[in-house]
Amino acid sequence: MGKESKDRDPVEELAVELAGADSLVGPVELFDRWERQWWTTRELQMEDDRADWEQLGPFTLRELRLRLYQFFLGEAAVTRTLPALTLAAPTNTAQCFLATQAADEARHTIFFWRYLRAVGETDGTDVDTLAEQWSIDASASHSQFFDSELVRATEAVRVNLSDRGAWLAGITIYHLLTEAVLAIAGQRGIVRTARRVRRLPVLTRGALNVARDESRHIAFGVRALREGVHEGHGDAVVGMVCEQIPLLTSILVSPEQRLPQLVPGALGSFVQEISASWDAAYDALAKRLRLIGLDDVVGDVDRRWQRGIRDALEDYQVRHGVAHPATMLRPAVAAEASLPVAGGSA
Amino acid sequence: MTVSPEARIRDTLRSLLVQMSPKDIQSVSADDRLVDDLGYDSLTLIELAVAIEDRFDLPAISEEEAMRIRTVGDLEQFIASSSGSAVTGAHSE
Repeated sequence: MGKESKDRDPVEELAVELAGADSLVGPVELFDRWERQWWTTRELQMEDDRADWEQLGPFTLRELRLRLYQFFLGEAAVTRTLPALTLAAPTNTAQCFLATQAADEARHTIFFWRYLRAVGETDGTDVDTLAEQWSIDASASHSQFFDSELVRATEAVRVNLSDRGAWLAGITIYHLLTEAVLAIAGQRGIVRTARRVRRLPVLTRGALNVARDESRHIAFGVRALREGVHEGHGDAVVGMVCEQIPLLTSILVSPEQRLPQLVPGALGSFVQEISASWDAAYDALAKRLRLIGLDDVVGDVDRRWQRGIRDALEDYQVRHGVAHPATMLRPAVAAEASLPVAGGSA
Repeated sequence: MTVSPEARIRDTLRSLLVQMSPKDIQSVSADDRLVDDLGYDSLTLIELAVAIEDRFDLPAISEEEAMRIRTVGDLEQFIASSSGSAVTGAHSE
């Protein structure tokens, strides 16, 4: 976090932070990175963002609020579920790294909680009460993924610590799907939104710190899964990926969130950005599957992913009675689902 | 004095337009164009759309209808004609 980073474009900075995620280094090297890259929530002057936050327009406020509370709930869920993966880790060094990750996940939970308090979104509510309150408002797909699927996968590890396939399936849903797909898409969204409104420097800094931590977690997961696939456990990884794609795509598209309809032209760049973010999330997954040694399943995963996006866009239309504006950018998806193309004649 | 529903819509909308305009303006007129005269860009137009949709109970709008909205008057007309119930959705300022 040097001074030289101050003037760098935060989106470029995020790419730099994430570059370490694919380095295939071992747990000891990742432990060393953790020591070098240490940060604290207390060093961030979160109150400095409050004036910016209060000036946000209703659209940006709604978008950021959704992202932050999704992150808060997600981080709280991963903090609770990581210990099983640590207990069942195959080596002491892997356990040491996962112990650092547990500290990271706790820090992220506290970061989002403190930030939301600092900008006035909560009135001094403690972490547990806030998690309980917001769980009620979370989307069904978000709740199912974090409160059911992640819990089920890590519970399967806890009840049989020597089940290598269960551990690898747990690492798949945790390190690959949660961290490399959902969390990184969320960080990108926060950083891009903050850049778009030219505000919220402390949130941007915090999101970059969180992304840097996540790049270490992804690196650990990719290497562990690569070893597991090499040992013949590819089915455990692929099964988990395919099973979760409908939830992942639904969380990313968020069909329950209605986009404004009055200004279709103005939505253009925003819709391009979110549609590109879905593609970036898929690319992140495909790239890691190749690194893991599962090149042969990428085509099938791609088809499942496109079907998941299509289903989520269809869900949007059913809920709101209008086509999602992004269908215009994805005519192939819309045509396959017989969705009306927003702004088009299909 | 009773304020007509149309006048309430107009007052509420114009107050929003002044408040959310990127330009430092004190008032707007029906002929003002949202982009060229009031300085709205893509982001502030989206913000305005959400504020209007939050404030008024508007039905779904087709893209063609939305594309025809260029001026303050177009917006006022759309909101007033969208439904009689839109009027009851307008909060008093």
